[in-house]
Amino acid sequence: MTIPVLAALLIGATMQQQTDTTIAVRAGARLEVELMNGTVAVRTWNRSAVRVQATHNRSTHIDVSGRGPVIRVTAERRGAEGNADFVFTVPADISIAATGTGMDAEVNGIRGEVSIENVAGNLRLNGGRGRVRLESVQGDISVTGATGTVEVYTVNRGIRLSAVSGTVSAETVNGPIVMEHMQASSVNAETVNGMIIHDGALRAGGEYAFATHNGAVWLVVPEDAGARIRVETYTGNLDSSFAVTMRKTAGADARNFSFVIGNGSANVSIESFGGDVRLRRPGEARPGSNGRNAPLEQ
Amino acid sequence: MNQHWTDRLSEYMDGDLSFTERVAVERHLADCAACRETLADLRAVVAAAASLSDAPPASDLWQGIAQHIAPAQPGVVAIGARAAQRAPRQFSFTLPQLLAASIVLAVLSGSGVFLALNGSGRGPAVATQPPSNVRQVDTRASESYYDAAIRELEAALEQSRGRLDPATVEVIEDNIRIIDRAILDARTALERDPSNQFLNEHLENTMKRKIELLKRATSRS
Amino acid sequence: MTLSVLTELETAVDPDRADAALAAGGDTAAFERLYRRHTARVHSLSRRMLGAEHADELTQDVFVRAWQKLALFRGEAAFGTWLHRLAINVILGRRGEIARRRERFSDDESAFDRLSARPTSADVKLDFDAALQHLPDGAREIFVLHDIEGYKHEEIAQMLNISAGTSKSQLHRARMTLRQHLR
Repeated sequence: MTIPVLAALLIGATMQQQTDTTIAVRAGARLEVELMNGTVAVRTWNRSAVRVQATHNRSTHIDVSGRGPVIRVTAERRGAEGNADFVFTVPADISIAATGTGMDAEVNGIRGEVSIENVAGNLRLNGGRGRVRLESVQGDISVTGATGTVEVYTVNRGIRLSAVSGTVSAETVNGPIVMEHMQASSVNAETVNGMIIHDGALRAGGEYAFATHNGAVWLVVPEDAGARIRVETYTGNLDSSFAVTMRKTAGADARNFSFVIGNGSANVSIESFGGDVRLRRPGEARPGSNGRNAPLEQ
Repeated sequence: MNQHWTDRLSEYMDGDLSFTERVAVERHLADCAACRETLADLRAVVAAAASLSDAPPASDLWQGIAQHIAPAQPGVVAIGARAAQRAPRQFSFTLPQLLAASIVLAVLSGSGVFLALNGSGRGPAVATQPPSNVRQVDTRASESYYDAAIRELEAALEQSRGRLDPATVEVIEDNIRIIDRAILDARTALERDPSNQFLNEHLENTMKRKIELLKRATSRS
Repeated sequence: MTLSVLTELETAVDPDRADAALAAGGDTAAFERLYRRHTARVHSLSRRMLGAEHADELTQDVFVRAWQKLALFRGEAAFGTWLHRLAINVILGRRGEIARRRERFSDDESAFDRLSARPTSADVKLDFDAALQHLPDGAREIFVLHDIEGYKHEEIAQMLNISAGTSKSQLHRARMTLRQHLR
């Protein structure tokens, strides 16, 4: 091995640096994170403090500053965002805002607000309360157990929501939207090229709107649900595993129907240009019902 | 007149008294002509209330309503039934200069799109609501405004292409193509069935998705 | 899996249903037809609840709100019933503001006394609707909701944020006062 190569290997080995800082915080604090590429992992502890651990190269500097209730952590390289792998340990009631370009993020156990903006990468959130907003362009987004106003947007890939309650808005272009164990009182799910699955409560007085261009819409209707359901499709078919009494809605478009289930108290609107609309009871076969996760790829 | 008894007469009449109370009132009524007369009066009031007829307003209020559902002047936005169901989304990204200066996409109405173009030398050309009995014209008029917005945004995207990661550009372009195919599907279907309400709305919504995608793409660069 | 379907075309039978569906899609001509058919009812309700001077404005508010919410009307209940409930909500939403403007919200004893005095001429019979306007606000609203619109005391109590007992006693006072004008 020549000396220059050995030197290069040694330099490479010392290129990765570690930052480890802990800052005390009060209740209601907010953590703001900015980076270009890298990973962000968030977990919780009982201390009133935020621990920042980062792995990065020498040319990237981790800036940690606290101003009032806001802790700002930035991976910086030559005046712009840099790359780093972060692990944050935080109090559960903290709010989090993370912005990245090629970021993979996993946030666990947070009971505060969560906002994540990214371009390419997978986002996974367990928790979140109040205002929860995840945006990406390329990558899967999965949210479990959030409650409040939940907004999830991606473009290429899918969205999975599980056990989410409150008001939900989920939009993608090329990917499915899979919602399971849902307890939301309002859901707006839209995709262009992808299927939509909603399995969960249709709450009294709730509003549920599902729209896709060429994907199927699977709506699982609980036995005790009461809903007025309106279905509009251009070339899709409607099929149901249980009996429904249909009325053609006035205007006489060929495939527009409405019907009432139970006491009709929830409002459901299903639109699909070319995809089928399928109504099922809980437990009946549907994509993802065999125990394996419904695929987030078409 | 004994107020204690007359005070119970409405409840007695409406069936809101318990069995014991009702018996007591009936016993009193048997002996009290004044209370019987009061009860008859109360029954007459209720009967008169039930027989009231509804009179229309003295003046025609329709114009005042029509203004709020179909604005007659530029710059006034209408919130239609469709948009009320699907509220416009607020982006937290900062808008690029081009968008802030020249295009403001206003709230969709049920049958038309309102697009205010100002500055950038294009003049205040604003879409007004086409007459509601001409649905085909609605779609054509609104489409041309969408097309204008899409052209502007595609030009902006082209300019900012160098600043975006190539993989991201590819993803965005792939998805623009996906939406374009969906728009083509809807347009083709509309040619065969021009008055189909669902198709009209679906086309508008799909064009709106394209604009949103372009906005996000240009604002992230 | 099969679909058990019973399709009915109801457009011929119920013009409201047809027009509501059209209006939900943006057809303002259809909405105007609905307005023409239902404005008397909405205007009378507004006038009785909150007075003639606000009835026009309230009626317009109700129909604008109905236009905005039409997408939520699924056509299973009668359109008139749905519209009526929406009108009540709009009216109740405005009454606080209007009452503050009028500064006459709580039980106004003197108003009862004024009305209770016998008319000077035995031949004079005040128009019943007009007599309503002289009742104190709370009593009038309760009378309209119970005896004209048919709501129960429990429902009225929730709508007006009072107790059912207050609703009953105010209703009784309103009836006792109004009976003078039917003699």
